Amino acid sequence: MIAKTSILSHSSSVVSKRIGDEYLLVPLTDNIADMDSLYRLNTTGAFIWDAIDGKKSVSEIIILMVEEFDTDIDEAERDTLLFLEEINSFITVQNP
Amino acid sequence: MSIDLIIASFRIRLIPAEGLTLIPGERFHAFEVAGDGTPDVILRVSCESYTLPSQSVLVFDAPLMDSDGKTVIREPFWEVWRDGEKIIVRVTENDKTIVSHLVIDIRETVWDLFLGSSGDSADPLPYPLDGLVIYYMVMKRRAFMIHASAVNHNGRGWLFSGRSGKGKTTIARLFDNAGTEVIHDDRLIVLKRDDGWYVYSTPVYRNDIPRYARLDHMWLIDHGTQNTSVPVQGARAVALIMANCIQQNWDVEFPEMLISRIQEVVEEVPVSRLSFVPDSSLCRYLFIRQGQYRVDSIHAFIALLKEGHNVTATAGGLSMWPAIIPGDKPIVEPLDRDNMPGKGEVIALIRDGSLVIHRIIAVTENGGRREYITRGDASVTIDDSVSESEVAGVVRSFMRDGKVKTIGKRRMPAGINRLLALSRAFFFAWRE
Repeated sequence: MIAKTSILSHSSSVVSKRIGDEYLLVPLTDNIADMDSLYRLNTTGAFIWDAIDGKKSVSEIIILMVEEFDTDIDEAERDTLLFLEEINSFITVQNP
Repeated sequence: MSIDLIIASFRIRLIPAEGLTLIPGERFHAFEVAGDGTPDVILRVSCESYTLPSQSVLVFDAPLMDSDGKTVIREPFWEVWRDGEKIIVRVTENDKTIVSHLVIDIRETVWDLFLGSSGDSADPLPYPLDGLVIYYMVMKRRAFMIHASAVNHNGRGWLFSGRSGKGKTTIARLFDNAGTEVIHDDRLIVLKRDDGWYVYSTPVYRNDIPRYARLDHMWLIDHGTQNTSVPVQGARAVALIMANCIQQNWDVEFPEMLISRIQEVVEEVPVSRLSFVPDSSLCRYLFIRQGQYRVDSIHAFIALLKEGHNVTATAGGLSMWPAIIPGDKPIVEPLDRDNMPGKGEVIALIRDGSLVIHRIIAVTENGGRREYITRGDASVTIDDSVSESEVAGVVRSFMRDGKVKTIGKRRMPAGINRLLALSRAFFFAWRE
C-alpha cells in the first residue's frame, strides 16, 4: 500500500534506462510465459522515476511535481498516487 | 572434421568429439565456409550427457508455447541455468529421453554442446538449439536478433518488423513480386559494422543463401487503409523495436546490452511506423518516398515559399503534441523580413533534408546574426540553435479534419494521466 508517507525505491527486478526525456522499463522475469511487456515513461513519468531514490517520501515527490509542473497540489497528489500504483511492481515501498 | 559456418559475419566453428560426424541441417549448408578464418565461437560438440553442477541455479524457464504465446504445449522444453559466469542451456526432447546442454560463457570463445544422444553422427544445431546458439553468439557483439522481414532495394536494407500477423511475410512477398531481393521474411540479425548498421538473414525456418544489406530504414508495421509512414524517435522507437527483438530478460546484463544497441541503431537509422495496404501500392509508395522524389519535394517546397506562397506540409511526429498531431497539415508561411517570428511562435526548420516544425523558445543575436533556439512542445530537450537561413517559414495555423485551426500556446502538462505517463509495448511471443 502506497501512502503519502511511504519511502520508495526502484525494484531490482526491473531494468530502467533513460532515453532522452523518457525512461524505458524492462521487467526481469524467470519464465518466458511472463515476458509480456516493456514500459515507457514519458517526461512526467520520468520525472517521478528520477525522484524515487529510496530517501524521498511520496509527499516530497508530490511537492517536487507542483514545483516542476503547472499543476496544483490536489491534482499532483491524485495523479502521482495513481501513477505509482501503476508502476507498483517496479518499486519497493517502505512504510514508516 | 570441423565445420565452419558464417552467419551475419560471425564465424562459428563446430568441432566434433573424436569419432563423431557432424551433419548440420540443410538450411545451414549455404552458410558453410572453408575453415581458414578466426572463429568468433568454437562450439565443441559431443554426444555425451552432462550433469548440471549442484550449485547451478535455474534462472529462466521456457516451456514450449502455442503461437498465442500464452498456452503451454510442453514442459520442460528449454531452460537456462546459471553457474557463476557459466550459462547452461538445457533442452529436453519431446520424449524426455534426450537432454542436451549448451554450456557457454559469453565472454569466452570456446563453448560446449553435450547432445546427450547416442550414435556416431549428429545434427549439432537442431531446433531450438540453433536459435539459442545464434542468440548468444549475437549478444557477443554490437548486434541483436529481431522478428522482421527485410528487403534489399538497390543496396538499401529496408526492415519491416511486427508481431505475428502484422504482415512481415506479406511485405516480403510484395517486394519479391516487384523484383526486389528479399533478405529474409521472419528472422534477422542487425549488426553494427565499421561503416554502419547492416541487416543479415539467418538460417532459420527455410533453406536459402546468406543475404544482407546496409540498413537504411526500419519500419514497425501494421495493416491499414492507406500506406502511411510516420517517423518515430527516441524512447518510443527503442520500445517498439525492443518489443520485437529476441531476448532473454532474466538478469540485468542482457536487457541493458540490448537497449544500448537499439538506442544506438535508432540514433543512426531512421525508424517509422508503417500502416500499409497489402498490395503493390505499398512498394510504389516506399520507392517514391525513399527516393530522389523526397529531396526534390523539399527543394520545391522551399522554392514555393521563396516565391511568397503558403505551403502545407503533413505532420508525422509527436514532438509538437498536443498543438500539432500526426496527420495535421501545418500551413507554412514565407518569412516576412519586417515581421520575423519571435519567442513562442512556431517555425519550420530545414534539418537533414527534411522539415522540422518546432516552437521558438529564444531568439539570440550572435555576431549580428540572428539565431533561433527551438524545442518541440512535447519535449524538454532544447534543439541545437539554428541560423536564420535554416528557417523555411513560420507556422501560425494548420488544417485538421478539413478545418483551419490556429496553433495554440505550449501547454505544460497539467496532469500525468492526461499525458499518459506510462505506455506499454507488448513483447513479441517467441519460442526459441
